[in-house]
Amino acid sequence: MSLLREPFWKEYVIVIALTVVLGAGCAAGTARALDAAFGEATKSLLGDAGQYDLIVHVRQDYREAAGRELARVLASRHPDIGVVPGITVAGNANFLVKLPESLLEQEALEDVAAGLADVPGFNGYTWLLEPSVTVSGLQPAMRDLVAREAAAVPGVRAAVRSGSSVTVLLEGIEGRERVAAALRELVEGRQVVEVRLPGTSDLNAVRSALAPFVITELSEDGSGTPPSLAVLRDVLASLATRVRVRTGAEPLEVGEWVVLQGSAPSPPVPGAPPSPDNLVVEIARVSGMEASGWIVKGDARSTLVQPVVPPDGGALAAAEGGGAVQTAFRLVEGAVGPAVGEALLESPRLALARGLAGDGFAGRELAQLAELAREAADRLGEMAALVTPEAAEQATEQRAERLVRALRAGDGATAVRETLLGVALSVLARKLQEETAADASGAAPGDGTAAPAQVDPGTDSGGPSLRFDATQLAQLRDSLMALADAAEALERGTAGELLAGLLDMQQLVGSLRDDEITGLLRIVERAGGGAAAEPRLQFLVDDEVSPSEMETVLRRATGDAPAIIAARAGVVNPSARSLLIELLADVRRSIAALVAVLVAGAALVLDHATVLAALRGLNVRSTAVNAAGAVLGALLLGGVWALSGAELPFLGTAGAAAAGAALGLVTALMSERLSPVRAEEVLAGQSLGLTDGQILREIVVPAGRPGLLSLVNRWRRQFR
Amino acid sequence: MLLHVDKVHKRYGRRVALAGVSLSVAPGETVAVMGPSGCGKSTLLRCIHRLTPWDEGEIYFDGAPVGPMRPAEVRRLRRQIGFVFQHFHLIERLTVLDNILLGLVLGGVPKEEAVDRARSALARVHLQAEESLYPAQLSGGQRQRVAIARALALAPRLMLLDEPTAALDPILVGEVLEVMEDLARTRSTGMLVVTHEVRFAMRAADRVVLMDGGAVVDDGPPEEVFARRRSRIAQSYGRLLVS
Ligand SMILES: Nc1ncnc2c1ncn2[C@@H]1O[C@H](COP(=O)(O)OP(=O)(O)O)[C@@H](O)[C@H]1O
Ligand SMILES: [Mg+2]
Repeated sequence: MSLLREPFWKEYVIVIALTVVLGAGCAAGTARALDAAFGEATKSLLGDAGQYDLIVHVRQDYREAAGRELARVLASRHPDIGVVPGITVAGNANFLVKLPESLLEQEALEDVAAGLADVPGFNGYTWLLEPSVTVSGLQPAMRDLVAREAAAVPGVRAAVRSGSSVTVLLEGIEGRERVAAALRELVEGRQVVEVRLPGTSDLNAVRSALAPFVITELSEDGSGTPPSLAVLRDVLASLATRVRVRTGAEPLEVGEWVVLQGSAPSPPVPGAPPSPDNLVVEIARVSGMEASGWIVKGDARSTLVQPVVPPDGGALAAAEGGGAVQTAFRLVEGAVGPAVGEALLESPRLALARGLAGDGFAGRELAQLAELAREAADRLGEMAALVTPEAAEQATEQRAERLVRALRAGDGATAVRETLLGVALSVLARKLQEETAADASGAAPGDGTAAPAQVDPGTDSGGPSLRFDATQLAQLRDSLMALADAAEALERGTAGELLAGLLDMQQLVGSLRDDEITGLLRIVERAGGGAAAEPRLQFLVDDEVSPSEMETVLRRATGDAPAIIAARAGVVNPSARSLLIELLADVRRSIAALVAVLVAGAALVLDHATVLAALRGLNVRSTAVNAAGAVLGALLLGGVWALSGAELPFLGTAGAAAAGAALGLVTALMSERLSPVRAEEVLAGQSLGLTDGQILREIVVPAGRPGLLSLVNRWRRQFR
Repeated sequence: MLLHVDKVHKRYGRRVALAGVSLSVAPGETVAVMGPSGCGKSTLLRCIHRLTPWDEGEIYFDGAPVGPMRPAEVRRLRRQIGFVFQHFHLIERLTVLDNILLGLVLGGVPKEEAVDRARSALARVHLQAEESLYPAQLSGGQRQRVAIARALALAPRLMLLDEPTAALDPILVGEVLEVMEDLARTRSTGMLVVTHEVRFAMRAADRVVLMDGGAVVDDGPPEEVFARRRSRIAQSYGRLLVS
């Protein structure tokens, strides 16, 4: 068509492009203006975006002291951290913290958070990092995976772990949707499946059987318990007094409590409540006629130091110096019930104390022991902060979560030390076991292997409440520090110091209360997800996979009878501020979209209706004019849309183009009514032998409404 | 022959506008086309100017068939055939001078020459003084004279005038007819004038073509055609002449 070769169309294309650019500019400009207005609104609610990065919550009554300590703790991380006291809400005083740019990366942020535990009355914290996306409801291994994966997503500045969530700090707000989508892909539509297996399982066989279902394995070292926790658990277990009960006709059940005489002057009286000097033992394992468990109330030291040998000197005779035998009574509804059998008390601690007095450790082992003790002391320090009376109000689960975090804070950097610690501990544990086993083997026929330190994880219902107070933990911590000192003294090896160290150690190891140790053990169990004896594997699998399907496959492949527990992998949600910002961004986008539609509509009516009408006058076929209108509308609205980022929630660029096409078609159909141009003038132009382009440029457009087209056209027009 | 229309047929849907019209115009000759409203006069002029396609037959200008012309040739044709519309069709936003210059300048005539030609065209229609006025400031007769000047300025070899006085107040008709008669007298251009002005036809036309129902019913010198009263329509024109 010769019509299309007219130079006029070049101007026309320029005008369309200009319209799109200007329209997008208008839409974006409107959006900017709204941003500024909305920014004010947000600021009055949450402070400026990025003004504060962290809120630290402390108990109201600790406000003064906490403020000072918080300032000190933060200053020790970086001199430029600003702290401002915020409002007090619901018994919590809040401090708003601004972090310097250089700290806005994962390790530094996690480090800052870990340091907060030292603040008196500390009651948690909330990241205000912006712009950010938060993934919550994550199990520890999953959380670490999410943190790792998130850190690798382009546009992510830091992925900060806290509790069961990961706060993903972005480089810029514009990356939010994309990063959120990436995170959603990671966690949504997926589940974390924990496979609990019998102790005899071949973990690698299990892994290969489940491989078809598995996206990735989350468990480390074949156990759900993080290594540092496993170490701590082993330490504690190796220090706790063990109780083994030989039952008669009625066996005990896991989770049941029994009462022993302990250091009380007389045996427990059935029907009466247990006295403070009695020992309460929770049964953790039952195998046939023999049950074993942990002391949850009371302390067996005095009993063991002055062993009460049963008058008949029976089968469960106490090993020399290491144990004691007492009658075990069932605890029935808080009162002493019928006797169930004989209990043998064994204390590896005392054995250790004696062992130390005997042949002692080699120098290297002692060095490791010292290190281990320090490490343990460090962690107990963190633990003490968590078990403050204030914190005790929190749900156990929450506390456990924070404990895990505290314990894990040192993960990457101290991996080497942890390995060493593990070695040191296994040496220690082996020694302790050897000794206690030797003690026990003569005394406990039918139980050749010394029961390793284990607590049944399935007994959290009705478990003992955690009764530590800060003083006790501080003592425990001091003891461990002293133990470390003593071990170091031993290492240096002068005879006098060695002797003094041994004595100290002996005393210190013996100074832990049994129920304290059991309580700690329980925290660790809960935090870490169980004992190593019942191996657990954690996998990330698709939501589609049903646990029962996995179970069937596993049973068929390995013959194991696993327990499979599935949980949601996590949820991606914006932060409070992001939510507000998102809401405002929606409003903003809608208005920008409206502006885009108005611009496109105005361009269609002002500029293009005229041209479309003229095309009809120039004998272009009606369907072609309508099609041209639709294409024009699509170009204009789609273009403005794409360029200005004006996205209605339900309309993408393609949708906008479609809407534009409809608008353009309507314009084309109504063009003769919309256009002010007189057909006679077009006819006159034709009769003068003008080209279609000349007619459009000199007659049609100038007579049309003042739009962008008539503006641009003006330059090329010969008749002004 | 300057223009030769050969058995042209044109239908709008089922309505027949032209049913085999044939006529010719010699160079410098003035031919008046007369006939009742709706008989296809305007359609005929539009076909000659290639503003409307036709169905059958052919139109020859200067011996060349108009039908198969390509757009550029059509434009050249249109510059050689001036068209004056009943309702003037001036460009409202342009001055009188610019209205005349439009076709010249955009047709490639250098600006100065174009202005000279435009002014002399205006002189021929006695409107030199009005060159910088806008159409809205002119009377109907003046507007039609501007339209004639606009066509004339291109130095056409043929002028098509479609009832140039029909839209005018009776007192303004005279000035336009005067200009047209003047043009006819000079024989500088052929003219095909659709008109109901019997007097003008008698005085200025070399021939009268009578049309009815899309066909030519008589063609000859005016006095003969009106005297013959071959058709009902000729009779009514004849009566008009007598009165
Ligand atoms: N654009 C058109 N569409 C349909 N019919 C038309 C059109 N133009 C003219 N006609 C019809 O063609 C016939 C001839 O019209 P026209 O040439 O204008 O007659 P005249 O000029 O002699 O009065 C009439 O019946 C008219 O209604
Ligand atoms: Mg007519």
